[in-house]
Amino acid sequence: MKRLLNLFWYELKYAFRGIRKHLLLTLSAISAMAVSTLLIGCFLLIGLHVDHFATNVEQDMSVHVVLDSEVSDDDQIDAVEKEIQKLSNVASVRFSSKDEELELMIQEKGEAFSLYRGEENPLSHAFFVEVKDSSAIEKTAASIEKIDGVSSVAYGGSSVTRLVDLLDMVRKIGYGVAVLLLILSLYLIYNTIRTTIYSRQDEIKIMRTVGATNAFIRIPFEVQGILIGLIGALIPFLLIFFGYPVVYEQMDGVLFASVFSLVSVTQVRWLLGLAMLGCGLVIGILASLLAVGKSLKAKR
Amino acid sequence: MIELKNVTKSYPNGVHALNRVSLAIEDGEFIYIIGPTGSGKSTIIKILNGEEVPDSGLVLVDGVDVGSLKHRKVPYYRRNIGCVFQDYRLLPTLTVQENIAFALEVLGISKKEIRSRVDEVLELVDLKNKARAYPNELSGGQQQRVTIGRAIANNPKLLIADEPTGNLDPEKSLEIIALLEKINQLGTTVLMVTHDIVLVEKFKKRTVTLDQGYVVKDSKKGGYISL
Repeated sequence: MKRLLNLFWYELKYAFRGIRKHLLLTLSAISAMAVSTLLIGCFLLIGLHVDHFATNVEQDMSVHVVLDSEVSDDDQIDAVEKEIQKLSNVASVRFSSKDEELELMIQEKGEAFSLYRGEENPLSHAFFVEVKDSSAIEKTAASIEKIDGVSSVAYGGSSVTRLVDLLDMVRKIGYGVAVLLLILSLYLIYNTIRTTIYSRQDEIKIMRTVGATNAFIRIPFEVQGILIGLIGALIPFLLIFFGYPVVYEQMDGVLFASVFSLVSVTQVRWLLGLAMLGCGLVIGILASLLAVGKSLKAKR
Repeated sequence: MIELKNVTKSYPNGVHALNRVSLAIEDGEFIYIIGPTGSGKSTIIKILNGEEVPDSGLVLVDGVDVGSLKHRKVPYYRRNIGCVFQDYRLLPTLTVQENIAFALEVLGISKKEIRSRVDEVLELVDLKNKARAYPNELSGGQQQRVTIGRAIANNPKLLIADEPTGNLDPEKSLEIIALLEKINQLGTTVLMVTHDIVLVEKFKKRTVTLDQGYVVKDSKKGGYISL
C-alpha cells in the first residue's frame, strides 16, 4: 500500500516534469480544450433554455377564439362550443363573455377602453381553447377558424414557437461545431503526449532497464493528458460558474418576457459543470490512451 | 546461478547471433565475454535481461526460465539485474544523485530509503562530492561510475556491463575494473562484455570467447588467447 502511494507520488512528479518540459504545447492543447468546452458550454446553455422555454410556452398556449358579433344568444354559442369540442386536439374550452373580454382588454391596453363598458361594448363573445398537443396548435386553430360563427382565432404561442425553433436550430449547429472542436482538441492533446513520449525515449529506455513496469511508464503520460483535458474544461466552467449568475441578475431572470424565464443558477452550475468537466475528462483520457497505446506498447 | 543450455537465436534479417551456446555461471563469479563485433555478445546480454527470447534452448537465471517469462513479469525479473552501458545513458537533466534515485523511484521505494541508499551507493562508487553535479559536468570515468551506481542501487544479484570501458582511456578503465571487482567482492555476479585486450590480460578472470555465435573458448584461467 505504501509502495503504491510512493509510486503514485513519483508518477505525478514525472507527469509535471513532462508538462514543464513541453509547456507551450501543453498550453496550446489546454487552450484548444478550453475554447471547445466553452462553446459546448454555451450551446448547452442555449439547449437548456430551449427546453425550458418550450415547456413554458406549452403551458402557456391556448387559442383565443373570437366569435362573429351576430353570435349572441346562448343556443348559438353552445353550438359553436360543441363544434370546437369535437376537434380531437382540444383539451378544454372556456367561455369568455364580451364583458369579460372588455375587462381583459382594459387590463392589457389601459383605462382608456373603460368608456366602452356597458351597452357601448363593441367586442364579441369569445372562447379560450386549451389544446392537448401544443405542437399541433396551428392546425387546430385553422380548423376552429372554419367553424361557422367564428370570426377570428389567435394563439399566443405562434411567435414564441418560431423563436424556440430558431434557438433549437442554433443549438444543433452549435453542437456540430463543438464536436468538431472537440475532435481538434483531442488531436492536440494526443499530439502533445506523443511529442512528450518521443522526447523522453531515453528516460523510458532507462526505466525499462531498471525494471519499471509498463504501467509505471505509461501513467505519467496519461496523467498529463487527463490534466490537460480537465484544466482545459475548468477554465470555461469557471467562466460560466461565475458569469451566468451575473447575467441572470442583470436580466432579472427573464429574457424579454416572462415566458422566457431563465434557468436557475444552481441548475446551470450543476448541469454544465458536470457536462463540461466530464467532457474534459473523457477527451483527456481518450487522447492519452490513444497516444500511449500507439507509442508505448508492452514489450520485453 | 546462470545457465544457458543450447541457446540459439537468429534475427529476422537472417543473422545467426547465437548457435547452441551453453554456459554456466556460478553465483559470485566475475566473467569476461569477449569476441569480435557480431559474435553474439550483445545478444547474450539481451537474452539475459529478458529483452530477447531465444529461438530454442533454455536460459535459467536463479531457476527462472527467462525465455518463457510473460511480458508482464519481465520488469520484476529485471530488477535482479543491473545493466551498465558503454554510452552511460544518464539523464542529462538530473543530477548524479537524482539519476541514481530514479532507478529506485521506479520500484516505489520511499523517499527516505532512497536517500540513504543513494548515499551508500555514492560512497561505494566514490562520487560523494559530485552528488549534485549534472552528468555533463563529469568526466567519462565519473559518468560511468554513476551508471554503475545506478545499476547496483537496487542490490541486483547480477551486474551486466556492456563494454563499460569502451569510451574511456586506459587509466580510467582501470578505475572502472577496480570498482567492478569491489562490487564483485561484495557478492554480486559480474558479467562484463569487452573488447579491451589489455584489461583482460591484466585482470585475469574466467574468459568466454565467442565467434560467430559459437563459444570457441571458455578459459577458467583467463587471459586473451588470439584466435
